Amino acid sequence: MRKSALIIGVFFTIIGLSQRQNLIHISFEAEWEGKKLEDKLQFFGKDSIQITEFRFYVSNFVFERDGTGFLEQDSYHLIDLFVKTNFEVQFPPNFPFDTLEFYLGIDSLTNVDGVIGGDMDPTLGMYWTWQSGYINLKLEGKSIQSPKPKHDFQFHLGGYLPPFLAAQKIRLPANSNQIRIGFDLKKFFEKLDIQKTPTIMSPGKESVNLSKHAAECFYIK
Amino acid sequence: MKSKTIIFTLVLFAFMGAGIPVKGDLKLIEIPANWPDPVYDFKKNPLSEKGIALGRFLFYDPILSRDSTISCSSCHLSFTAFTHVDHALSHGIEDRIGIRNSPVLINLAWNKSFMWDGAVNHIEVQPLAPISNPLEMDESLQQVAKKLSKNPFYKRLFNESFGDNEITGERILLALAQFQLTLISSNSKYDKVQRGELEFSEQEAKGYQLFRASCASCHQEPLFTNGGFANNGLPVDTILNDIGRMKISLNPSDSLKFKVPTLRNIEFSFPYMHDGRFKSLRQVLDHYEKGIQPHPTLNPEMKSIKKMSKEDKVDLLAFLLTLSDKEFLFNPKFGFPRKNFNPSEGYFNN
Repeated sequence: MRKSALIIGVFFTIIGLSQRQNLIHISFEAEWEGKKLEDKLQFFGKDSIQITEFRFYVSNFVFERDGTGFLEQDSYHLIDLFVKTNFEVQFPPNFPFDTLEFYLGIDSLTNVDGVIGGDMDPTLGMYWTWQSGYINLKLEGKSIQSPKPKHDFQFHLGGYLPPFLAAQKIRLPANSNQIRIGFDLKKFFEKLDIQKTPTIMSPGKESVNLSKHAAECFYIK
Repeated sequence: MKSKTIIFTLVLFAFMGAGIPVKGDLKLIEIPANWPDPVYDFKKNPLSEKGIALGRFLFYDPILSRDSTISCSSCHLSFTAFTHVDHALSHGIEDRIGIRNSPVLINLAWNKSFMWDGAVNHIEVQPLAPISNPLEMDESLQQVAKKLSKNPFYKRLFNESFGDNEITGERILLALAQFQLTLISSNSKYDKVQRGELEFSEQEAKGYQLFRASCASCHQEPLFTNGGFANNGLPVDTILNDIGRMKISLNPSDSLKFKVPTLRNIEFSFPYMHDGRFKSLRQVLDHYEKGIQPHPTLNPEMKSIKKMSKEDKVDLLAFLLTLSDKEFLFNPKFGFPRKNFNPSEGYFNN
């Protein structure tokens, strides 16, 4: 019963789409205790963390209410917190929603579908070359805790092969045309032991665990 | 929650009419009768003469490597079934040596995975590996796109293939896939016998029976591979220490498993195995007779290979030679595009 309601809901939203368009504006920002990540030379926390790169894919956006949903088509967006932090979703008018659902990363099916252009073009540095698969999240920087040269840390999270699926589903409450999504840097780094694990560069258990933790650091502002 | 998203997606697809499998424009290649359907979805990247020609130029152009010395064809020569003949391990730029034997490029539209360990899941994204590998081309696709964008010849070709002269990573990879998808080998003596055009000699026929009894479970007809991974009992090379498929799946049950290669054109694709350790087919047969090493992941079929007499081996070799396809190996459409070769004005021109 619930499923058929869903199908009808989606059907009507698509009909709606062909008539008039609305825009939903979605933006991302990262913060450390209210201090916004703005440039690459900022220091955060007692470990003097500096972030030099923070990029991630968000995909498969669904706007939901009461089991009815609107699904964005070709829903893949590359967010670069130093370059491009927002995008707009074309949306049917008069479609109220209270929940936003999306993936942090790229789902398995898309990962086995060959080459895709635009935000998914493999020249963007978010695709592994020695093996197939998108890098869902790239976070690089420096921390005095890192034993690596120049105190660098590098996290390239991804992986689409079971049992190490890295893409994470995120559900957040949202109901306006301007959706601001925050990433809590302090929460993210508090759980990490950079001294022990300064780099994660390939799919596997560590990548999945850190992806899960990263997904928990998103919130609605 | 997951089922909900799946329903959304399914409904959307049904509504758009997507997801209906269509083979696409296959006029430019011949899908042999009685073969399984290709794995590749031609609908997404419909073949065109211009696209195939562009892919062929890219395949033969060393502009893909950092110092413009190595092209795809450096390690994949058409005359030797698109592998690097006489090189156990291929060399990339500045004579750097890789860790594996370059595989043949044959009937790739039927390949479920690429590379000896299946690291690559789709033909379109395969070139990223050799382009980026420091031991091979040591370049980035981004840089390749930049270099090609400065070249009027390629700008024209991309325009003809894609409708405008923007050169993106996606388009480079789609064009390379188009050319490689045309590399179909289906005119060997074996194929002609199957089609009733020729007959095996007595020796070849005996060899075919031996092949079916001992080899065909992995090297399945008509592609002569089952597309899977197997540990065929090779002793581990303690310098290379290559664990094969396990590197990708991270699963210990995949340790020492490598992709089952096709046997088509095997006469020309020596040396053999993932590290090119065997120079001749005779050495390969000797391995299966007396070289198999026990290991927890050893393919069970290895234990049931039938004992072969000296005469049996000769017969089996005679059969394997019927898999050579000279029409494929010497097809002028697959070779170096010499008509456009003009090294004084970039590699290709006109």
